Amino acid sequence: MDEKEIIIIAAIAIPITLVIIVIVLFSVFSRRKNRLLQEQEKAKKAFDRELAESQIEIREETLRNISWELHDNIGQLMTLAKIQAQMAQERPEMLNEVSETIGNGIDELRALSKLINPEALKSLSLQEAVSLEIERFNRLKFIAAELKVQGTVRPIESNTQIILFRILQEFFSNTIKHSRASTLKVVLNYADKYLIISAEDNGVGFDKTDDFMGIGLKNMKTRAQLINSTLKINSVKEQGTALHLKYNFV
Amino acid sequence: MQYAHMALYAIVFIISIVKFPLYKDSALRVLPIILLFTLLAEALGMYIKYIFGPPNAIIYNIYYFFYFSFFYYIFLKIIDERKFKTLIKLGIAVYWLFYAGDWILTDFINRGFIISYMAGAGILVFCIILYYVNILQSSRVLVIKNDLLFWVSVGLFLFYIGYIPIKIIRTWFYKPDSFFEILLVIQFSLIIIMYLFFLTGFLWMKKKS
Repeated sequence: MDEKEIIIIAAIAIPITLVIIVIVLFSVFSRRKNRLLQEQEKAKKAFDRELAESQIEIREETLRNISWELHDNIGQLMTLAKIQAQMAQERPEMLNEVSETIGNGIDELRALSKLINPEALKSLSLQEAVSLEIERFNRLKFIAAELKVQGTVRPIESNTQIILFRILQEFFSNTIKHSRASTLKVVLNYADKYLIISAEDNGVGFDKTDDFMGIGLKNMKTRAQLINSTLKINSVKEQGTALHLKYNFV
Repeated sequence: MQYAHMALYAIVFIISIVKFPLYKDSALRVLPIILLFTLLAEALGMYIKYIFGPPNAIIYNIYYFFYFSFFYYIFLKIIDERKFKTLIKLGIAVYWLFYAGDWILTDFINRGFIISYMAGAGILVFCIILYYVNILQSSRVLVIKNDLLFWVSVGLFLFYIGYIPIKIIRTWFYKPDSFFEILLVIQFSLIIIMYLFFLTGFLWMKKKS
């Protein structure tokens, strides 16, 4: 092959190669971009679905709590007030006690009305929402609960906050219903890049092979992943269960 | 033709200065230096060639060292995959080794550094491929249209894929023959294509948030 042939081949091959490279390059990039967009759309749909489910579950839980409080707490107070009022007909000095009991009932109703407001969670910070739950557990003497907040509280996007709260609510609900625990300790630790949430009870614990707990855990973990978090739940039989959630602010 | 590409160098350099605030905080801030170096090296090369007559190889022998090293620096800083960074560092070491070898083994006044140039161009193409793989593995591909380095790298990639064979033919098969003019036309076309991609990058770029 002489020089002329080499030059002719190069003069033809170089432009053709460049055109092929441009076509391949741009088609690879645009295909990858489309795939990523589809994945993002899918992730957004999954997030919206979980968010909607979390909101529904929070409402259901709230209604259950209201029913519980109306029956076990306010209902009892009103019954007591009724009995005291009947007794006060014969002993008017008991009217003060009636008034006091009704006053307690009104206080309980006010506390309850905060829970009924469907926008409550949107207007509350995560720390306030968790604090209300903890107060409720203590007020109703379900469990000796305590909340500690460490670091500087940072605002969290409201949809993310709903999912975080629902994860915690699910854990609290399991603690109260199944764990037979006497204490519940919750820590919200606001670090620079992360929010680390720890919740720990001293209940009976559970076996990870338990199907019911398995499904609950899987749900909580799926939700945690959707909000860029990692969730770990450790349980030791007869010692208690601990939740550890790390939410990445970035 | 030569004046046309000099004009294009100057236009792209001026635009790179105008758009500088958009990328001054990234590794791309060395880009105007590369463009200015290119403009000065070409101008000085032409000046020496026409005023004193050839050779002007020493200008290019010095210029390519900074040219390749600056581009390697950009890719080293922009690529975030650790494994790729190591490969680029290895590439830089190889290029510097070839470059040092050329200073010792080649007549640097009269002859261009062919071996280190080939190594430099090959390693630059390799860096660009790593950069593309890195982009495709991340979500940066979604905003790639507005990424200056993407357009710069496409320009460089096309230029070197086309120019490396030309350089080989010119080095090992050259004869003072008008037939070789064809290669010169392709070479200038490649430079113009490369700079048009640079220009697209500067005009389409958006500041990274």
